[in-house]
Order: sequence, then C-alpha cells, then structure tokens
Amino acid sequence: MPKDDTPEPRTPPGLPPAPVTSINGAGSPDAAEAREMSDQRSGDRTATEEAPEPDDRARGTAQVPGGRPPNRVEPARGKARVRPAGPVEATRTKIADIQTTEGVPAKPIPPAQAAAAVGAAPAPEAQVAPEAQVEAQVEAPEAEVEVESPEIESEEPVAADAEVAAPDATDTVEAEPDETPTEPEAEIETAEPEAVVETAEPEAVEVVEADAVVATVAPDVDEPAQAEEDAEAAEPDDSQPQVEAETEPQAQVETPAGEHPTQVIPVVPAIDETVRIIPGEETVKIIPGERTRRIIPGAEETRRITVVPGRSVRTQKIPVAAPLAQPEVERRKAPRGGPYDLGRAPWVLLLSSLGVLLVALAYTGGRSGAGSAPIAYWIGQVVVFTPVVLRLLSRRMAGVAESFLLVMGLAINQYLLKWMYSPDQFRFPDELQHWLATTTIMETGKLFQPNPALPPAVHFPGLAEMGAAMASMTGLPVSGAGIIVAGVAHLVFVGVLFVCVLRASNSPAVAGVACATYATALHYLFFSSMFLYQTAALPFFMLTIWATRRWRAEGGKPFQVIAIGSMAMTTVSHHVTAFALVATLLLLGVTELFTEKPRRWSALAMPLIALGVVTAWILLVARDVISYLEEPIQQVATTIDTLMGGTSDASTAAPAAPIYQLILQGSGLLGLLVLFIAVARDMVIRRDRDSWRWAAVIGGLVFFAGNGVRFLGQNGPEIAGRLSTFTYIPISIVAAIALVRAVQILPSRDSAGRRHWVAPALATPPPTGRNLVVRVLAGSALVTLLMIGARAGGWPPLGSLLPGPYLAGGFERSVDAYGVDAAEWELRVLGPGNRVGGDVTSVSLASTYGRQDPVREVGPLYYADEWGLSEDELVASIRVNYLVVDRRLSTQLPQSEAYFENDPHAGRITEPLTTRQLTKFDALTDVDRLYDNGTVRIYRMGVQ
Amino acid sequence: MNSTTVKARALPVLLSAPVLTAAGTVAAAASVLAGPRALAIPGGLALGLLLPGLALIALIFRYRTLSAVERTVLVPGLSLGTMIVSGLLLYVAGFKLDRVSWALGLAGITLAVLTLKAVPERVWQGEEEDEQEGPKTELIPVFRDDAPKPPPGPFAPTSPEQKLERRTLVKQLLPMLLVLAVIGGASWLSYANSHDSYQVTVTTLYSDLPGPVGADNGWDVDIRATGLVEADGPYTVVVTDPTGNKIIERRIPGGDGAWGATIRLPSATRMTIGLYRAGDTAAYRTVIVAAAQ
Repeated sequence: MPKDDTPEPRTPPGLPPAPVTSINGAGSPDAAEAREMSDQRSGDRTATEEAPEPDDRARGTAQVPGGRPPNRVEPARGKARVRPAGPVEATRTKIADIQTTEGVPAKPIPPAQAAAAVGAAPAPEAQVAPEAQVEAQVEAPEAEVEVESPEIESEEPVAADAEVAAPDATDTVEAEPDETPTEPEAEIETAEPEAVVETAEPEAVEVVEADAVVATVAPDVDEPAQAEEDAEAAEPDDSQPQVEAETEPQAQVETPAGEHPTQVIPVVPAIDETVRIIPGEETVKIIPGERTRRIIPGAEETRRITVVPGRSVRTQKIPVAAPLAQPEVERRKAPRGGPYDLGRAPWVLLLSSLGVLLVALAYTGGRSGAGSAPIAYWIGQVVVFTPVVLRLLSRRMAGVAESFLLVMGLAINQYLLKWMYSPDQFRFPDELQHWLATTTIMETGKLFQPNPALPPAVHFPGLAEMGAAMASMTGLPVSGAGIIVAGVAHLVFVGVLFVCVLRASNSPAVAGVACATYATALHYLFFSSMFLYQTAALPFFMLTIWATRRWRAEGGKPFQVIAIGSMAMTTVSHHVTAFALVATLLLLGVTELFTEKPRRWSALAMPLIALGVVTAWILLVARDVISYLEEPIQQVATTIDTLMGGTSDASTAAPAAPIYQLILQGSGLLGLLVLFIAVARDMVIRRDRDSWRWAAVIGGLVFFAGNGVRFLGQNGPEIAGRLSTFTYIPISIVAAIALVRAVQILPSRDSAGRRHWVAPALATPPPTGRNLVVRVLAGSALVTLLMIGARAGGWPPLGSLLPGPYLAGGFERSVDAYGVDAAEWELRVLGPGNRVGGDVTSVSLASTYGRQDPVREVGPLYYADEWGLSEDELVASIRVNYLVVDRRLSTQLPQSEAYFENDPHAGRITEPLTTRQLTKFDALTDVDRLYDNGTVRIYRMGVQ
Repeated sequence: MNSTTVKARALPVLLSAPVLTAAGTVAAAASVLAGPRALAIPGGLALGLLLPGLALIALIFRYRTLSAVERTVLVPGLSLGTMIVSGLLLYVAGFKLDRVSWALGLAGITLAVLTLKAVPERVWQGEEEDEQEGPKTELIPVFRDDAPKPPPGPFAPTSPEQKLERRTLVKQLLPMLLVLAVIGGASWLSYANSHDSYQVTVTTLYSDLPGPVGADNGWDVDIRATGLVEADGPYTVVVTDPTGNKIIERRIPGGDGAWGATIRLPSATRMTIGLYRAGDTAAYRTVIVAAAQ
C-alpha cells in the first residue's frame, strides 16, 4: 500500500455517531464511500439499515394492503411479521387469542418430553438457540426467511425451506411433539393472505404472501426434533426473493408408511412477529390462499436440508410437500438496480427531447414573429424539465446510472436550449468579449494580451486557453470551439455537482433532485453555460469541493492533488468564482470544526491553501481585478447607505419587475423557504452533527440573504443573480433532502397537542400510496415553478426570451447583420484601438468584432437635443474618436431599461430617443459621417 | 518461457488501458498535425477533452477507487485543466501557442503522465532493497477480501450475468437513438433557421479617411459601396456641396455588388456624398466629409 493511501484526517475512533435522522439515509455517508459507487443501489441498501430510504421503504410497505400483483418482484428485506387470520368458525376472542401472544401461552418443550417424543434425543439438543440458524435447500433458489426463535427449545437449528441466518429473525416456532400421531388429515389455519416478511438483510424487505404455514415434525432417531417450515420463496427471482408460505385448504398430511409419523401442527403466529406452532390441534380449518401445497406421504419430494447443531453439520431427509402447478409468470430476467441499469431514463429523456424540439420550433417562430411561439416555448420548457424531475422524485429509479443519465440528459437538453437561441454565432456581449480573448491568443500566440472589451479577463485566461487550444487543434472557428468547450465545462460542472451530492447524501435520488433543482437557478440556463470565464471556472470549483469532501472523509494525496490543482485552475479562470471557492471551503471547514468532536484543525487546511493561492494570483498577476470589482460593491454599499438614511435616489433604484414575475419568483422562493425551514428544524431537533449538511443549511441562509441584494441599486439584480450561482447550490441540496427524504413540513402533534419542537420519530414511515403521489406531484410542481420563475426572471429577459428581430438594448436580440457589418468596417477601415462610443450593443460589437477601445460614458451626447459646449467638453474629456448611432434607438424603448452602459436615465426611460437627438450629429460641421448602412451610422468626432 | 507464453502475456499488456491511451494520444496528435480536417476534428477533441484526463486518472488514482460516474466526469474535467496548464507552461517557456505547440504540448503531457504511471512504485521508494545481497524481492499485489477486486482484463471471461446486463443495457439504450434523432433534428432546424434569418444584404456606403490636402486645396477621398443589389440598380453616386449643388454624379456599373472610387474633392468645403437607387429622389445612403481643419 503506498504511502499516500494512509487516511490522514480520518475520524478518530470513539467519535460518537451522529444520531440517525430522517435526512441522512445513511448514518454515515462515508461508510458507503468505500464501496463501488457503481453499485450504488446496494449502497443504498446499506444506508437503509439505519434509516431506510423513503423510496425503498415505500416500496416495501406500500404494497402491503393488497392489490399487488402476486408475482411482482420486490426486494426482500427486514424481519418477518406474520399475523394469521383466525379460524373461520372461531369466536372473536379465539381469533384474538391466536393472533396475540397473550392468547397462546408459550409451551416450551420439556426436555424429557421432547426426548420421549423423538426417541433417543437428548434433552440439551432439543433446545434451539434463540438466534437459531435455519437452513434449507429448496427448489426456490435462495429464498431467505429469517426465524428468530427465543422460544424454540432446541439447540439444533431447525431445517426449513429457506436459508435463515438471523440475528434479527422474528418468527418463533414452538414445536411440541406429541407422541400421538397426528391425524392424517389436518386442516391448518392459514395466515393472513399477505403478510410482511422482513429478513435480516436490511434491503431484503419483502412483501410475503403467506397463505398458510404448515409445519411438520418428523422425529428421527438421530435427531431430537425436526421441524419443517413450509415457507417457500414464492418469487425466487434473482437475488430478490419473495417468500410465500402456502397450503391448500384441507391439506392432507399423512404419515409416511413405514417411517416415523409426520405430525401436522398449526402455526399460530403470536403478536406481530411471533409464530407459534402448536401441535395437537387436529382440525384447524384452512383458509384457502392463492396457492396451496399438498403434502402427500409417499408422493412428496424429498429434500436434503442441512442441520447445523453448533458447529457441526448434519443432514437429514425430511418430506417436503410437492408444489402444485403454478401459472406461468413473466419474470424479470435481469435484477433491477444493477450498476448499469438505466431504468426508464432513456424514455424519459426521449420525452424531454421532444420539449427541445418544441423550443426549437418556438425559436423558429420567434424569428419569424409567429404569435404562438411563446406558448410553444413555455410548453417546451416544461416538457424538457418536468418529466425528468418527476422521474427523479418518483422513488422508482433503478439507481445511480439512471439518476446520472437523467441529470446529464437534462443538462444536455437545457444546454441545447441555450445553444439553439443563437447557434451560428456568439451574440451575448460577454461571449463576444471572450471570443475576442480567444481570437487574440490565436492571432498572437501569447497569453495575457490586452482585451479592451473586458480588461480583467486578461489575467484569467483559463477559458481563452481552452478555446484557443480547441480551435487550433480542430480547425473549427472560435465560436464552434467555444460552444464545445463551454458545453463540456457546463456538463462537467453538473456532473461533479451530482457526484458531490451523491457522496454527501449517499442517495442517487437526492443527488439527482439537487441537480434538477439547481437547474432552476436564475443564471443556470444561459449565464452559467455561456462561453464565459465563469463557465470555465465552475467545474474546477466543484471539483475542489468534491476532492475536499473525499479527502476529509478518507484522506489521501490523490484528493489533495486534485483539490489544490482544481483551486489553482479556478483561480486562473475566474476571480469571483475563486472568491466563492475560498468562502465555500471556509464555510465547510468551520462547520466541521464546530460540529465534529474532537476538533480537527486540518479542516482549515484547504480554505487556507485556497486563500493563499487566490491572494497570490491577485497580488502578483491580476491586480486590476480589485478596481474592477470595487465599483459594483461600492454601488451596493452606496445604495444601502442611501436606504438606511431614509432617502431615495432614483438612479440607484432597481427597475421594477412585473408583478406576475414577482409572484412567480416569490412563490418559488416561499416554497424553498418552507423546505429549508423543515430541514433546519429537523436537524436542530435531532441534533444533527453532519458538518456538510450544516454547511448546506448555512449556505441556504446566505442564499436567502443574497436575494435581498437584488433590491439594492441598479446592479442589484445582476449581483444577486451572480451570487445565486453559488448560493443556489446549498439551497438545492437542502431542497432535495426535503423532497426525497420526505422531511416533515408540518410537525406532528405530541401527546399534549403541541406541534412545536416535537421530536420526530426516528423512523417515520415513508409516504406511500396517495400520500406518495401527492408528495411527488407537489415536489415536481414546486421545482417546475422554480424553473418557470427562473426563466421569467433570469436571462435572457422576458421580452427577449425568443430570438427574433432587433430589439434596442436587447443584448443578444440587438446583434444583427447591420451592427456586425459596422463593427467589421471599423476594424477594416479604421484599424484597431480607436476610442468608439455608442449604445450598449454598438460598443459591444465595436470592442469585439471591431477591436476598438470602447467608451461607455457617451449617453449624455445622445440624450442632448442640441449640441453645445458641454457636449464638446465631454467629447474632449472622454477622448472619443467615433460615435456609432443606431437609428433604431428612436423607434424602440430599451429592453434592458437602458440604451447605454452607465446610462444616466437607466430605469426611467419612458420614450425612445428622438430622431432629432440622433440626427443632430449631421449638422456638426467638424464631424464626418464616414459610414452609413441605412441603420447604423458612424461619425468621426473632431478629437483625434 | 516459450513463445506462446510470451504472446499470451504480451497481448493483454498491449491492449491495456495505458498502452491504448498512449497509442490514442500519438494517433490523435498525428491527426491534428498532419491529418485532414475530417480527422483533425476528432483528433483534437480527443486530445483536448479525453486523453489527458484518462492518463491523469490512471496516474493519480492508481490506488484509489473511483466510481464509474466519478471517472466519467473527471476525465473531461482533468482534460480541461490540462489544457490550461499546458498553455501556461508553453507561454512561460516562450513557445507560440499554435496548432503545433498545443498538440505537442498536450500529447507530451499525456505521454509523460503515462510514463510516470508505468514506473514501478519501488522506483519512487528507492532502490535500497536491490542493493542488498540475497534474493531479490518483488512486490506483488495483494487483494484482501474486503478490497475491491481488480478490474477484469480485456480477455476476462464474461459471466452470464454480465452478458445479461450488457444485453439489457443495449436494449435500454435503444430509445437514446430516438433522443439523438430528435435533438439532432431540432438542432439542425434551429441552426438553419438562425443562419437564414441572419443572412440579409447590408448595403453600405462609406468613405475612408481623406488623404492629405493638396496644392489645389483638394484631397482625395475613397468612396466605396457594398451590398449593392442588382434589382435595385442602376445605382448613382452624387456629391453635393452644402448648398445642394451637385459637384459630381457617377453611375455605378453593375457587377459583384461592390463599387469603389477615389474622388478628388475640395478640402475647404463640407461635402455630402449620396448613393441613390434607381428611381430614388432622396439619398439611399449618405456619407459626409467635413472640411479640412
């Protein structure tokens, strides 16, 4: 074993385990990390040992009442619980006696009596250990029945029809051999048609249809006692047995001729988990079950069973009933939930892809101005998203493979929605800025070249490097290579988020729902998947978190290497993401220090390393980023100061959102808040000590606080949206925990009728039946509502959700052939580096396609009705050489509430610019109009 | 050891994952550097997004267990990181970042990582044991009962369960073909529609910056028009002075949709140059040349 495999920061022994909660399906998620995650389903089974996962538990219990197909394959699990029905003729009291322990007093076999009954059996051997192992070999392959038998008075494990290895077995079989041979025909009362049998294997809970229990005692000369449990694995389907004990009405039991007498004894289960076999009751009527078995001496099969007295193994032959012919049933050939079981994911994704087609048609309609395009768009968005969420919440997933395929399929489909908006070229301003950075690298062959469109990006070349490498090697244009790089980075980010949550929760359902919920973040669909440097940094951000998680759990240099390398890549790629990474690692470290005892100060190692890496890069390489980030922060601070002072400044106010948009987003946020409170309350009451869950809760608090930033100033919504890129991760995890683990939203009342701070039960029953359906539908509706709210309030703005003709101040919608032609003319005729001013789109195009130095403070020059001295002074002060005038500004109000960057009238524009304002430049004698394409005009100002 | 035994042992070694990765790296680099574009695209994608990650995982996680999902996401993730690192290294080393350097850099890193993985562990731990006298010891892998089993080799027999799983997987993946068809059709529809909607003819009239003022107090001005549509022709260029008098009028001959000429204009006067389509009474496009200052 290499040195680096030594788990360094492992939890020291003796650390008290965290109490089991309803939200940590596995008591210790780390315990499952040693297993192959491809076998996640089995990992979930292990998790169920301590707190059964709702979906699994639901699977086991929801089927009990009936209506379940008899041959349905379900995983067997848990302990046996057989409650028989009483005899038909019996009185209610007798039935109660049979069904309860009190009514049937235990009758331990006296050693002497047992010995006399069986011949030469010594007394000690007639007692079965309380946890007897009963093994039997039957035709039904490996059906498992666990029988715990504190009342079986025999040390020898009783051979039965199933393999029983049972520390937790619960069936108690009390055999009282009677010297008097049993009547040949005994009618045995059947048990309840369907009973829950739980085996010791935690995930082997199974519904058992026990029609009857027939037990025979066949004394042998060599054996003190024999008992046969006629429990048959009714569904020997693969590894998930379904056990059925059955008999036929009026089953005839005869003593084999010439052999020892076979005694038929009724099985009288005691309360809940106790089955008593009382010999002597000769005529007990059998309630017919679905399937029966006839025991005919001489005609029955003989099976070889293993009796394990102590440590030795002996075998003996006992008569076993020959099963009657059963109807052919279709059985599943492959076990469900294998590592490669994709479940229904392909079909769900097929439905989701139809939504992609719908949105594509909506985009086509938007470009041609079709009125029904918005309807198709919204229907398409729901069809893309909601089926996947429904499946993830349905608790019927096959396992990790299906969940992962669903998540990645959804991510791909949603990325296609972004790409199809503008599939042939970059149009979003930020994408154009990074297109320029990439193109510059390809042209110069060097990094850190000036980028006038986005100066801070010069010192964060990660994305541009990847784009340039891909474009250079494949020969694709920068836009094509950029789409590939951004798409892969986005998918890796989602994939690592899935893996991270999977590691932390040990549940593919929680991981899948968390990713689906995160897909409802404001900027997920566009901003987080565009060709931006944040898109390049996000996968490394999540890789750092994942590697840190694994390092904290199991130690090892590989994860240290990945963590440190990823934080370096994050730092090289994007400043804000690097800051968020430091904050996130710090949060994780601090919560670990506070929640886990004894404290491991190594929890602060990664945050400190990250802080050092980021600080070093900023101080040594990217010093200009400080001033770049200073402006928006100051603006928010100014707005807060203004609000605290009780004054209002129109220029700092955020534009009002439409009321329906507020309702949509508010409803979604309210739903998230309810889930957040439910999870937090659950954790507090249960005294949860999982540091990662506490970190998620604290991160959720930051998310809700960050939403308040949107009301702070003109840049408030943008800052809040960008902040949510990171704070939405913890709130998504919290929401997924609440939705999948079925955390109680409304606390139950205690005995005093109080709801508050009532500790929930350790093992609350999972939602089943109608309750399950309601929960799944409600959860899906909430996540869908969040998605709709994000699409309505995120990017692109509601007015330009669909591509189409030019829109003033519409960013992507403002980029068309006229603007691009003008920008390319600037580069071709004027050369690069001139100071060019204009509206938002003109400046964006001029600084990217045109390679000009953008001037963003030119708004007053356009708003002026007359050209005067102040305009001359402004031109001189900002040293603008050229002005780009788009005549369409006089026909439309700006979609983004502003025509210009640093627009002095932002948010207060009620009328478009006038023709007079836009044509006043023609009257200036010192100004040339050098370019005119009918829509865009370019003026050369007098300053050279 | 006879030849049959050697072949039997050599074949699985040759088909092992590191060797295949190395071979793929060489092939991908060759396709990028010397292959046609049809090969350069898959080669470049593999070299940028796949092979470095495979090599790094093989090296870094030699003794660690990663789930299939983790491997799936780590391969492209680490490959992206390798591109960033290789770019920085090339830049620091003074190489120009172009196709050759990118391909050789990424391929070199990938092969170097694979070489490191091929180095036995004892090399890293020193050769002290070899210097000792006595029989040499050899490290052999020991798999404990609770340790994950080694992955099966390329010729490991598949159990019936594995075959069944594979068949089931193939059946389950069949709908994905429909998924690919649907999203492929949607993508084609969207791309074609966007491309077509963007393709509009932009008719422009522009002038270069005027040249120096000559002795005749005039200067040469290059006037050009692009995007001329034949159906709108014939076009006419008219130069007028501030009072509206026509100084020059030229008819633009039909051609490839573009026209250009150098016109001598007086530099002391602000001149207006208009482009007229057939039948226009007002200028269709206009540029203005201010007087020399």
